[in-house]
Amino acid sequence: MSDIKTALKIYRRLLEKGQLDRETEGDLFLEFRNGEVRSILAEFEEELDFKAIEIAGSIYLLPNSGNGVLGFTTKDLRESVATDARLVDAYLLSYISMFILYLFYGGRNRNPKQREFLRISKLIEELDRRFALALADREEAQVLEEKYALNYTRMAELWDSKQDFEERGRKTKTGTILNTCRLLERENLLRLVDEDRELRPTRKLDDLMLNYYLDDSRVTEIKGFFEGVGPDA
Amino acid sequence: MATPKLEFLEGFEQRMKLVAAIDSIINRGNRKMEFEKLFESGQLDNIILSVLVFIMERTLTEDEDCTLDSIANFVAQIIPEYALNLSSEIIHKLTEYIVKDILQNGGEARYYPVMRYGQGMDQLRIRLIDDKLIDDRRGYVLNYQLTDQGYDLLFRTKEVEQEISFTIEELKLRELIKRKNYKKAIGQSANLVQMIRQKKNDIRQFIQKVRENIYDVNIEEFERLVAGTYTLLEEEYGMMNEIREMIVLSEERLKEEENTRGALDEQMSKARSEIAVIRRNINLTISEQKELILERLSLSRIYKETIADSFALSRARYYDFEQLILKPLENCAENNISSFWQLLNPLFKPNPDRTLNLLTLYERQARLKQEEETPQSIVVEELGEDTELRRIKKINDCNLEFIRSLLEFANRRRESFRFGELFQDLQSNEPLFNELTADDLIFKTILKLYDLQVIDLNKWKAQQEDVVANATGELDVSYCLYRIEYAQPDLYGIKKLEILKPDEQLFEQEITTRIGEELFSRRIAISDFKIEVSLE
Repeated sequence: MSDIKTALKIYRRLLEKGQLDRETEGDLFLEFRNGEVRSILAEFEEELDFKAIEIAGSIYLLPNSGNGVLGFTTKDLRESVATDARLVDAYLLSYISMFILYLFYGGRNRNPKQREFLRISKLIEELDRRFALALADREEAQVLEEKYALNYTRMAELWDSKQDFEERGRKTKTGTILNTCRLLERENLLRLVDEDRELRPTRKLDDLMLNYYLDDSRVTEIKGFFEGVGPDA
Repeated sequence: MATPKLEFLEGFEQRMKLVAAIDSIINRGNRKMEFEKLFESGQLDNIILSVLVFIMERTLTEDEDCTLDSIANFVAQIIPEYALNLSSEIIHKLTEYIVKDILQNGGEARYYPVMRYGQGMDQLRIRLIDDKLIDDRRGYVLNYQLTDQGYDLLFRTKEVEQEISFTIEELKLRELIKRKNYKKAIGQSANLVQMIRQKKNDIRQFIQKVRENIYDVNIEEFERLVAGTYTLLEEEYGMMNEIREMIVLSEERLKEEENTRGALDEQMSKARSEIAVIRRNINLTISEQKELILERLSLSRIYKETIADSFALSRARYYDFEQLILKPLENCAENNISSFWQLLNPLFKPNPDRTLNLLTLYERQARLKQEEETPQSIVVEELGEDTELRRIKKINDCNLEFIRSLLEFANRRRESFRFGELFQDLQSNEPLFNELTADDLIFKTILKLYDLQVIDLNKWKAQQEDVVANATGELDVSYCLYRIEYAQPDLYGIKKLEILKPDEQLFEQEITTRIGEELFSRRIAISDFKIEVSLE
């Protein structure tokens, strides 16, 4: 098989599943290390705005942050909440996703992974605590300098208005969290176990977080994003 | 000031390891008083340790799962010994508390400070049990097993300090077989299987550790595991074959004896069945050993690759997630909100279907459906609105069919008739009849028609307005007529229908519904309305 064919085959597999594992597709996996194939793929990466990285026996295709062709758009995220979802719902979904990542990988030790699993009840408690700070801040806003952006306070209020600890309806706290988790589960990042009461990171999430996402070299990119000068922001 | 070197404190951290392990049980975090108060002082400590012993027992026998349910069954067995009587629901919750909150510390890593003289204080990670997520047909199942630390703790509490050596175990077995002490030999051969399985578990746990964080793994641990296992295995492999040959010899001797005597006495038959068990265990051990050798090879590969990767990463540091992402997220400007997906993009799977698939133009929920196909075990939550829409559409369609049947029946009869007669006629169309009787829709609709009293088709034709699809599922005669007219412009030649209740005559009907395997029946009694028909 020609190198370009092999490269296309790898690209296609990555496009289909997002990853290529040595355990199941050893031959194709090893071809990734072939210099010629690798350099063809490097051109794909550059033009199609993604990265292909090898971590512990798996190759992953990661769309770059601003990639709207291979990646998600806000509209997609909103659809994950509901067809009638507002921007604030999508904000909450993004925030909860990031908060889950923070609870799993926010450790400041040499090993940032700080837990094996996370119970949904614990996640609700932690979110309650975090949002309560913003709401308390809102009440004192007249005397103190405003710490949080208005939108965040609005999101905190949205969270606070959700009730029914045990109920699973879409508009309850548990329902909102499960909705977020199902999105992450579909992306093969989390598993919901123990009758949807517990979250566990997949090997993919461990691989990506510990070997790429949390890497210090991404600091400029992330800072750039928040300053509104990130790629295509 | 440097402390003078005190030799007796060398390896002091080894002693503290045991203290740290015991501390994680005695000074457990995440205490829940609802469970703690059920027990007298120290009782729960005993139960926790018993649970650990149970997990060890299960871990050593690979054929048996060690799930939360099996642990709960065990707890239920021992609870009466503590003079307690707990419901099975409480026992299940208690087991979850012991396993998840205490032994797994609620999922969080637990550390204990340990002094390494000469190097200073160190944080020792304590983890007595580990779990394996198995993708079963029942969904994800968690299987618990002991970690090395867990074994270490348990062996030190009862078994000798060092694990029983393989070779000694084998020698014992050979001696026992020589003496024809088969009963003991069975136990010994079973031990061999268990120990080889334990080694396999060690390797799997080590691979897991390497994958999770290479910095937590030291090279000595790897060398000990690989070199130790490999040499041992090679020796074992030969010796096991010898034992197997011996078993074959014993069997032959038994056979000879059977041939010469004609039959085996009771003792000899017992010996024969015992030898069969040993033989099975030995075969099992040999095949497990082969697997172990293969696993060792993949262990070396994974370890080497991860080490190589970590060289590139060793210079890289991790950023502070809270400072760099979470706080800016909380403070961001409104126009940035719509770009948040960019933060998640690198983790998500590529999503080319959304932009490249033409079908999405035509299918309302194409993307959701496609996503459902990939991970089959995941049920995508159905949005409330969609279910509601479907339900309303179904009711509208049923009402439409009912009105159509009413008109069509009136046209056939060409004179007034009773509701009961219409009902009997509808039974000939079974699918429609089932739809109409489910939830008693037909009865509700006829009552509403009675409420209206008249369906004046001529009047309706004269003042026809724009009709919108009924959004609530309530009976809307106008909407039904509009749709019927499309296929039947003369509306079956009916001018007017009047729904009357001329007397107290009742229509009674037994309706049966099938739900799963069960048949349910209910009795309906309703006024037998009279329908007056005026034709064109």
